[in-house]
Amino acid sequence: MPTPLLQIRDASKIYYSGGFLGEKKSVVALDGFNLTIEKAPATITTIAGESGSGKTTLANLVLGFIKLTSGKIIFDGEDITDMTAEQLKVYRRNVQAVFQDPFGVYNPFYRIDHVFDLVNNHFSLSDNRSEYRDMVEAGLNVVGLYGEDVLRKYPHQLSGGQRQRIMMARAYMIKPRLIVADEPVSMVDASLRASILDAMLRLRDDHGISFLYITHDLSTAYQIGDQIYMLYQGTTAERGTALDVIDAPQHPYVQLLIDSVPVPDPTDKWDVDISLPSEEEMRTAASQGCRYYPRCPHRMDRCLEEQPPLYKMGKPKHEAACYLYEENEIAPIEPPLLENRVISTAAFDSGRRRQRERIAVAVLVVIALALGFFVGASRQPETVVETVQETVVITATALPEAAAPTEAPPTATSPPAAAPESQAIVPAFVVEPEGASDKGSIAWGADAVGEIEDADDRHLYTFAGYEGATVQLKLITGGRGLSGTGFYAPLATIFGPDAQVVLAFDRARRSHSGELTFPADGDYQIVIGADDRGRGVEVYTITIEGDEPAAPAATPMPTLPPPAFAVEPAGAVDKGTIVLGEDTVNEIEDASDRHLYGLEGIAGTTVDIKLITGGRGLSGTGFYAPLATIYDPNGEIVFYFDRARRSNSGSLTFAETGSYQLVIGADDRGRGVEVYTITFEPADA
Amino acid sequence: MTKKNESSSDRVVLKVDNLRIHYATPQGDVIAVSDISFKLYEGETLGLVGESGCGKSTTAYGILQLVQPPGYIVHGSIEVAGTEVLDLEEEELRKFRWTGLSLIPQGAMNSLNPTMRVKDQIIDVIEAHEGKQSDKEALRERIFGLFQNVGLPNRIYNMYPHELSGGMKQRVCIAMGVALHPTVVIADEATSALDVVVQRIVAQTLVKVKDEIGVSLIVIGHDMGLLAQIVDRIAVMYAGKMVEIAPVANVYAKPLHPYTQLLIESIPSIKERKPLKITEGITHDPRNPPSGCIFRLRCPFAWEHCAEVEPLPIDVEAKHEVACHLFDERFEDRRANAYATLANS
Repeated sequence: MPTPLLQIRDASKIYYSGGFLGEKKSVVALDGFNLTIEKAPATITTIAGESGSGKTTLANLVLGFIKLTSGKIIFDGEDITDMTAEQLKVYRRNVQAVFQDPFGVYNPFYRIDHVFDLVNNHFSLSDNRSEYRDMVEAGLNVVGLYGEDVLRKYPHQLSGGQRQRIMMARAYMIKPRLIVADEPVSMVDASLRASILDAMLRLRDDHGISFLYITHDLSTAYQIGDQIYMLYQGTTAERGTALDVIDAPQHPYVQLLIDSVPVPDPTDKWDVDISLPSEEEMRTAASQGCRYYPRCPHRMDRCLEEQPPLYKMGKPKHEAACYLYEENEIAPIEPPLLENRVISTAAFDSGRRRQRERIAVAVLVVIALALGFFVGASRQPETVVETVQETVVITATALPEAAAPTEAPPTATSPPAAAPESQAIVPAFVVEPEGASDKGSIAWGADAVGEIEDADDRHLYTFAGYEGATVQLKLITGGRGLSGTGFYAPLATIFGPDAQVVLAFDRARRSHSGELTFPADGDYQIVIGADDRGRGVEVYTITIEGDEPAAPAATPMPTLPPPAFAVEPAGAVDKGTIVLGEDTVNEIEDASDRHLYGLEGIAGTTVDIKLITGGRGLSGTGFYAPLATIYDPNGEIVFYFDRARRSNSGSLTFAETGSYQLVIGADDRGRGVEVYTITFEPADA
Repeated sequence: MTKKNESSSDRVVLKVDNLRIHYATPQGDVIAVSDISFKLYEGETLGLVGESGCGKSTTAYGILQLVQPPGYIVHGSIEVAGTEVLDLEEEELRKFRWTGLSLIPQGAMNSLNPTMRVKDQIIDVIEAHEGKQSDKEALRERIFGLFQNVGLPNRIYNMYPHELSGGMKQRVCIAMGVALHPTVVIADEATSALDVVVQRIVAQTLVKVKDEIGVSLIVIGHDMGLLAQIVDRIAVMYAGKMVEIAPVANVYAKPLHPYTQLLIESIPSIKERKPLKITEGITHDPRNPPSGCIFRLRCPFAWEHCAEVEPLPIDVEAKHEVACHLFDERFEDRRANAYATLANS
């Protein structure tokens, strides 16, 4: 294996401030960062992230302007921190820079040719005047310029694009192997950026010069980038090819970032209003665990414990540092350092120790997986996984003592309590049309909606349908209060005359459309309500377009149907009664596979319940909803897990002694879920 | 119930007529804004775009009467809700700013006074126009109301600007800009220095506040993606001229002026990789613009007529004007050819 062009290993940079009289503060600008750029073919490696993500720190480190706190930067086998002045001069020849400001780098009093004269003096490119002029001309031609047009001009007479390309030409003349380009296009007009990007592509393809392209502009990275590293507060959140990462981002932060890039299409507007947590929250939480925790819609307790490693995604080299992908393979630690000479440093050793520890963790995870916690093959992250295999382990460290129950509690071997069939079991988190206010009939082609103020405010409309007739439906909503979740879910569902759901709007988007062919003549109902986390939504318009039908007969509202996406215990597989503390159970295979367990509860005792779930296939939805609900002997729901979080806990006091039921099933989008553990522990006395 | 972005009415709140602004230099005047005319409707958000040096910021500063020497207004008329701004005396103008017209400046994060608390800066704006406020409690509530409009927490009331993030400072500027419910707010590159997520928050705040308070908004920018998200109409400027002004959907779906087409084509996408569209910037000397059409030196469709006659704005449909000879009925054949060429390229 040839020595890579650039290797960065476990690089950290910490800035300290204060400390003399006040409290010493530190800011971690870069934390354990790894990167490899191969020699051939030349590539454009993008480092992207918001301000404060550490990308400019990285550029300055590679350029040798600042020193690492720990870790290593190896250029073509040489550690740049240990270079002598002589070696540094060679290094500076090999690694050139193009900076953000195309105005500030020029001395306004000199003509453009002065820039090239300085380079010639410094690097002694040529003594021969005509040879030197040819070199300048060749450099300018590479970036699409001509000497006669620019050399005798003053900087202010050129456009920003031309000035940046001259900086590229200047760098090119020195024949570097790497150009660190720090935001080279961000101060240049959008219409002129292409010329700079084109110059970069020519240098890469025709002259074998690699780029470390530092930017916050994902669209340019998408157009020309090879590899991309998405930085968040000094750590790599996600990396892979620019196309893979931007087309199908996996890390929640990267998803938000890419969703926030304004799309130049007035018909494709932003989905939701978002907000950020306060500045303090964002800073303080960074000391341990995942840096994105304070802002993350998927955060779990686990994320606070330790910084997530990079997990492999479906595509080669595509990796994301997020525990959502915990069941994926951990990406191998970078290829071993290839150095020409090995200089051992304490920092590096500690880096290696950390690597070894990570390997140990990886091995443990693999063993754990082999032990049966995980039976799935590695998956394609961008596809929604419909089939899920999992194990539910139900344990209890100690059962509450039933000292003197008035009735003998059912024994563990007794048959499971039958579902109380006579009672309609209504799950808790669906729109309940009973509670909806009747808003009358919708006239076709006309708007018919109001504002839904809060979670309790649900609206129900009726309209007439004719068998075989097709209408176009469009729901346009405006959201509030779902800040940062990337998720918007008004419940808008149409029920047919037979009380079956005929159309439910895709809840992952704000702008929905669909076509509905009426299966039968009769009255249809549309129910609009709060989202299933009980938050209010704002619905602007629903239009139903189509031929005006004959005036629908004014009919009394039919009996409201049962909600559509509830677990139906009637369809659940009977799994017997759980003996708390002993039993483990089952695999849920797909959306139609639902499991029902009997639980024996004793009046007055309290158990703490913890459900730890692992999800797959819900990437990008910001939404995770296993249905795990406990019904009491009367068929009433006495406990259900908060679906907004993946890690749930709560406590349940049994109100009466008798047979309870636990139903575990697919989420209410009919996707499979994976439930790892449910534990019932006696509550503290 | 109105739908977003359909809130603009037909009532004109700002009418700019034949405005011309020069910058005096020893070598002669640079024509920064060259006889432009446009209207801003009530409740409307108008995007003003063009490359650096096209005169978009100068136009905005002209409307606000903030053109600094050596710049000066040569002629024109600027009417805001019936008031001719150019006729206002200095004192009247001072009163008119913030109440009739206000500005959210470029790099607004640096335009707050670093030595004053946020509250004092906002109180300053209010008291300068409405006199000393005796009811301090009401004043505080009013400022909290403004904070709520722009999504800022009340705790920043007593903070200094350096304690706020860039996005928060920007929102303080928005709050100040709308504090006195002006008729027209001009946001000059109000989000261009922000990270993409923060930019989205600020841009959405701007639109929300505009809708809530019912002002009309001019957004100056060069990020065509961002403008697509927030404006109702777009005015495209090139070298001091307004070449096209159109409803936003038209601009992106079927740009008419060759320069608008170029602008739309050069938007980088994150959806598909496409060949880079390489163009040079404004190439002529701004002291001696070319005869006829300002864009003819870079226009792929220019012919002799373009050098002889300056194209005037042509109404192609409601609220959509384009200044290009191709849309003159007499040259319909050329237009067909031009579009055929475009379709083949």
